[in-house]
Amino acid sequence: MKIEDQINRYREYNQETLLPRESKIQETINASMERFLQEEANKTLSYKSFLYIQFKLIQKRWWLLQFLLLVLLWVILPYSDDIIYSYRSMGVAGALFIILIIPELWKNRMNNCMEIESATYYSLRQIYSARILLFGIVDMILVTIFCIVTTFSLEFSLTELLIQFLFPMLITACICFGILCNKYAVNETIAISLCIFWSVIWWAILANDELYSAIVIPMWIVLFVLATILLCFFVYRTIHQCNKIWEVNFDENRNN
Amino acid sequence: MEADYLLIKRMKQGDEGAFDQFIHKYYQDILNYCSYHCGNNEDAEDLTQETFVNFFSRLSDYQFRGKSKNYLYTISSNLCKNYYKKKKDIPIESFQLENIKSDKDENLKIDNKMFIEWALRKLSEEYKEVIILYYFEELKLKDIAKILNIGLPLVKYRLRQAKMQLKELLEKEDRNENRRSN
Repeated sequence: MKIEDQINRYREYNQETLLPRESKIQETINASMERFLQEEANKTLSYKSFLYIQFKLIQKRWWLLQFLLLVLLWVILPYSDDIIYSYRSMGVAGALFIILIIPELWKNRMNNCMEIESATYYSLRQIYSARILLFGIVDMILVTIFCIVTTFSLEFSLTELLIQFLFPMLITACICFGILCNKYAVNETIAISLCIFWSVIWWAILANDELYSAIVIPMWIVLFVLATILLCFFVYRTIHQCNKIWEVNFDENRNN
Repeated sequence: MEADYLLIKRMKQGDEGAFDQFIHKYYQDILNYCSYHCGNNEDAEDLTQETFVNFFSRLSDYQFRGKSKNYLYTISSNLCKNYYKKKKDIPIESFQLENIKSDKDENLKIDNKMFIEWALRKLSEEYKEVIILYYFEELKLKDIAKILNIGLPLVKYRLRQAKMQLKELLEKEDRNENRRSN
């Protein structure tokens, strides 16, 4: 007999005698499901995956609008007759650049995320940290590109960009983060209004020659550094105290 | 029958029906594979269950590429290797005598089974594996290469060698059997 025939006979015989038992199949299904659910329950996301999920959740249109805003600013800057208009445009754009991320920063707060937080893997603090980090990375890239392009193509000095664009932007960011996590439930409309109000103040400073010329370059740098420190403090407070402040004020239910 | 891709997607979402469908789809194949390796039905059932449990423990990380059946065979193959390590010698007496029926044709089939199983045990692990996957599980050579994580030429070489050795062993046993009966 050929070897293939012998093997075929063996295979057929084995299949006849070894029939799967339904009880064993059910046992396998139950054990498999149990194991799968157990593994899922023990599974924690890596930081990279968590950041990626948060990245997917953030609406990309705000980043697109920020990008378009910078492009628009870069396009209109050469057409300004007077340097003061260029500065004003930069100031407004700086404030607007931050205003555009307000809806995303307020999203958790507006959707009452504290109510469902206990059912999620990550705390609000971790979610905010991830979001701020992502906004920080993307905005940093956008602003760096804008500054490099503007410096080389429009011949603006770095000091001018620092004072006229980055400084109002920093102050706007301070206002946003300061309001986001304060004790009172301030909504995003008030935050936007305050940012616009700051923009008007900035216009007034620019329009007032006496005041503007009184502030010398080293003073601007000091103000810029102070604003940076203030922003770091507000961001720190937002991350570390958001649970405490929000829970007490919104849910009156403190976690132990 | 629903495609594996969709079944896996549903299973990842915890759909019980998809688990049922998937396990029913491959249970027989994996059970046969394990039984060829261990020669004991109860152990084969346990190994089959372990194969599926192992598969589902890593389901959330599983990226669907190619055939899920091949992945099941890979898991099963590793489990069978561990089984061998634990249980080096499986005596020929372990064959289930209660299944033996008295008619002549049945006895011939049983003799054939005993010869094949004896010959398979004489083969090295690598050769036995390709014989099982190619002849018993009827897989394509390229699938065997994927399961064993080796190249296609090596699969062909092992199959040729295994077949040659198996043939020699069966002929030898056949001659001995004839001598004993005379």
